[in-house]
Amino acid sequence: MSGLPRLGSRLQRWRYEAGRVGSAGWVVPAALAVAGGGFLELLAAVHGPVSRTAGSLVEAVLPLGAAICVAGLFGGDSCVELHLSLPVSYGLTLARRFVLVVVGAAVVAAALSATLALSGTWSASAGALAGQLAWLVPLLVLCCLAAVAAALAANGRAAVGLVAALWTAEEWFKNDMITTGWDRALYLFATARADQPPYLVDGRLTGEWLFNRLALLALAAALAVAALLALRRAHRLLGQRGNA
Amino acid sequence: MSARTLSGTLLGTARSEYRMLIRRWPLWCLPAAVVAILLATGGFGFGTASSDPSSMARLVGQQAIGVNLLVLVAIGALLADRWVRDRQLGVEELLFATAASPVSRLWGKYLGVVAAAATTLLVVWAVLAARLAIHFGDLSIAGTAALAYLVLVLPGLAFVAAFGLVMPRLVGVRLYQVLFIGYWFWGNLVPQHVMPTLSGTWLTPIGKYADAGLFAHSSHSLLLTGGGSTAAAYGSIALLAGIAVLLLTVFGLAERRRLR
Repeated sequence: MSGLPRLGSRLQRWRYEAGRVGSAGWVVPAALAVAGGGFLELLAAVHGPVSRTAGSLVEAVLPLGAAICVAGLFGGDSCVELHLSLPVSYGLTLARRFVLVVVGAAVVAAALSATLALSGTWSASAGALAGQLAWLVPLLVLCCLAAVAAALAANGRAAVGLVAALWTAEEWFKNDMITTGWDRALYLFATARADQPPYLVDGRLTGEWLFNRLALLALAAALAVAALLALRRAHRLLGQRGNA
Repeated sequence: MSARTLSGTLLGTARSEYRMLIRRWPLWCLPAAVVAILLATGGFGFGTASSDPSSMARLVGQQAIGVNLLVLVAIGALLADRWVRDRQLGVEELLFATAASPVSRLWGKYLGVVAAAATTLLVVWAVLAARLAIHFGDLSIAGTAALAYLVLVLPGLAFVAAFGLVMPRLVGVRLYQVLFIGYWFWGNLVPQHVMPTLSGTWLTPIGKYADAGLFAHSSHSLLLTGGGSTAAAYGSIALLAGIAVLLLTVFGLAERRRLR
């Protein structure tokens, strides 16, 4: 087969998977962004400054929505048995869908972040490009965690429960995490939710913030590798649809 | 339909739901993992407590708030598809064709979900109570822990389970899960000076009013608009349970009307 038809075939495959992921990957983050924007307008009208809440929407809420969509990819297929009998890896199919969900959520988050910055509502104090790490890092960590948990547990709902507990615990233990030693590198929402030392000093993001972002990116990469390894045993997902 | 058929549907659905859920390992592993991490990281604050009864009661209350905050949110997200899964699995039409009333099935599912999650939480709670008893060398703490389970843990579970059955039918499972987790943070943790929120009101499912009123645990009192008192504690419990019953009643009637 020549290169061009092969490329066309691959593009067609991605287009099909995008249609298959459908509303799961795009509508939930977009709905959250639109509803969140409306909530910010309302809050500004009845309460006052919304800068931190706007930052939290981009930094915490959109990544949570994307992670739940990722968890929903596991167990939604009614013909897993058929797919597992094909030469195309089912794990690779799920990986493609994962990429589509993450890219969809990233596009929504980038657009929302730019809108908030242009309207003067909220922007990270790190320049436009570095500021994108504010939402990109939690997005990748939570999505990869959801994928690895769902793949290992062969259960998307368990992954959502895990992400929910982690997401809430990050807020509950925020002060403990950012004031002690090693775990300040693992605080997910270090830009808008923790706009204070050690991450922000004199209105500028610090080296501690950058270290936090890089450490979490490394964690996301490790989780992604773990998810890919777990997906090599995709047959474990068989029967999940009928589980209680 | 006879009362016997109704009760048979209700009990049969509850039994079936309980049996399905109690065998699901995520319902056991998630709470166990959260509590293990809390214990390992000192999240329950043992170090600052003394062994006098009021201090131990405060510690039990603090422990219940921690469990409610982190375990109930995981359970709420985990159980979000219990009513809509009949449709997802393609058996809803079959169930419609039987004599089983949707109202009885709804309440049966609710009772089964609450009973299964309550069983898990009871085991987790018993482990935590034993940990406290060993730590202080005082078995009398078991009574305080049992009271905390009844008035702090169960009302929150009843509230969460009701919304987990009803709301996914209206907004879809995934959107509900996102909204529920966001609500959990907004409605329990966000102080009122930051934005308008339910977190200072009686309607806090992690049980801050019951904690402050019955266990004198004061670290969350700043968020209570009405202050901690016994009356407020029981008012909060009644409100949580009442909203759960009202939600299920209205939804059950709506489902019955839809299927006529």
